[in-house]
Amino acid sequence: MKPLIPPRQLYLCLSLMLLTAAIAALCIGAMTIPVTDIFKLLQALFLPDSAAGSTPEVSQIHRYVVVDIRLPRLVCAVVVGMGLAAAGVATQGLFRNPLADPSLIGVSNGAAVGAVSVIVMGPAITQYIPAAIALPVMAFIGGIIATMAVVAIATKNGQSDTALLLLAGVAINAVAGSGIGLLSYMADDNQLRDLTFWSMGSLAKAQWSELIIAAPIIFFATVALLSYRKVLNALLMGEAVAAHIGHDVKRCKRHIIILSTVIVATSVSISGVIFFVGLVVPHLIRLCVGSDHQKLLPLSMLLGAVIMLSCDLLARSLVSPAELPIGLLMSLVGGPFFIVLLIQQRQNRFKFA
Amino acid sequence: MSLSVKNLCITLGNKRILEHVDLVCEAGQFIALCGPNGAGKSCLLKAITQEIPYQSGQIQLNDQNINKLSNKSLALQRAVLPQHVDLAFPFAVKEVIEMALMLTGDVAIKKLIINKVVDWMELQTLLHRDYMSLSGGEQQRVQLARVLAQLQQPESLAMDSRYLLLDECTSAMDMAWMHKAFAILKQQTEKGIGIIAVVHDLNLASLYADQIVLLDQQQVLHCGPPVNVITKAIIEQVFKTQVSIIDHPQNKKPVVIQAAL
Repeated sequence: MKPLIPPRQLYLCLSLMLLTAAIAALCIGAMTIPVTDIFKLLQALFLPDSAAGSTPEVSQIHRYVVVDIRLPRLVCAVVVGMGLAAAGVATQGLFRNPLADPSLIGVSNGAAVGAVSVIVMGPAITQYIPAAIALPVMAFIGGIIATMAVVAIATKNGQSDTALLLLAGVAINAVAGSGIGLLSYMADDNQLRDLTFWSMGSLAKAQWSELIIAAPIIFFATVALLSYRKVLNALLMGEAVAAHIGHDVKRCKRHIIILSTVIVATSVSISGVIFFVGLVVPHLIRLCVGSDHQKLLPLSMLLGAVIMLSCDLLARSLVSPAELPIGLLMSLVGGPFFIVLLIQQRQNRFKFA
Repeated sequence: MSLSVKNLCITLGNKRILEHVDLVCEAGQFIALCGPNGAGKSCLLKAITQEIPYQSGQIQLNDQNINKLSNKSLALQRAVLPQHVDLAFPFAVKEVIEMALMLTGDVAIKKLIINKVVDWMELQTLLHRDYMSLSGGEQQRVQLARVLAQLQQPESLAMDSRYLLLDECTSAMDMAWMHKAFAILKQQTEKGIGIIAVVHDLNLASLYADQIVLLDQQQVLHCGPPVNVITKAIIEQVFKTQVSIIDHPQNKKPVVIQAAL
């Protein structure tokens, strides 16, 4: 079982893809901006001293489009993609199940209920929680409740049952769906427009004022997940074995659950519910380098960012000047992929039975 | 220096699993836990490894209550091999063995330890195979290599005494490997590692163990060196089947021969 692609080459390849996609994301759009302008703007942004003389060459409108519209969107796509992929890896490791994805088992929708409740019942919630962080906090509460429910329903003695897990997800998604339905029933026209955005998932509303809080949260929670690589490996042999090897299983499990819920909830609060990233990305990386979390986790984070960025580029250029919600596009790709995975699992089961 | 179980009682629901069990494994001693199905062998082992709770009694590792030790310090002093270890995702054999070395950061030391146990268990040709694609016996060899590796970590070697707790670790191996595996375990006891192993094959137990603990109906019925425990009267009474006992031609250890039914 040699890796299909040597991990080092994959790192390099994905990093180059990320860089290319990032530059493309800044150039391409309703208004095409030359690459040279992008570099000048970035130089002005990050090295203000050295670039002092060159900024006036870039027009004010280009500056606005890149710095205030495309750059926040880029940052949003990168952190959300990286975060959702990492949360997917962690959830799958925790449940010892390749089909466990935060969006499929209801965590994302739980978080969406929290986020939506802030939009609809705004003042009633912001009197307890500061308005700036109300959205991510409520999303976290919704997400953690959903996670706890899934853990309670689908695991026994640290083993999760695939059917139970997915059915628990169906049930939680149904409850969350009715919650969102109820809230949209109470919402006025303006709020309703916002709600549609949550349920479809979109990066169109990315703006610095939200990202300045959300992006660091997702980024650091994702990096923190990296320190649980070894435990995630050991957990695949079962909780008892992981404990025998010397891991503090209870504590690590709690941390992993909290971290991935934080990531998913914060992502939902800035981009709505985006399905399947956490399912597709880890699976592709597993095919290339195997299941060792020491490679799987960082590589999935990279690929997650690449895929999210490229999908967003597609979403806003396919029907330009209008744009598709990225969540729709991801589901369009992820749905069939999920079916293929299910068929594969079915074959495996028959093979070993 | 010992791993000791004193007056252990376990009930699960309203079913009595173990009653007043005592057991002492000194450093370097090889104890085989034998007995019919449902006697409580695995439960005794799981109580020692903290997988199931016990109602009364005490389990001590080198004079310290095991419940007061951290997982990390326990992992340095004892390694555990359960009956079945499934992996949910494909892993290379080498990666499986490496999982045991969580307390060792040094790559060179890791490599050294892996080479050593791979040598012992003759896993060279399997090293890059997918663990899930191996046969049952091969998987057991990998798992045995993993627990042996855990006790080879420098921090573990520095401990006063170390123990291996094994639950039917050779049940799927072929007859050559069963004996090879037990011979390797026997060598480990000479380096001061104490072993408590659940063994179904009484002849393996007789040939390699220092002490046989015979469990029946939730209690320790007999305990002692193989010659004292493996006698016609005891085995027939416990297993309710006809046997003859002969001496092993090499070393005069008792060998059980079962009558065809």
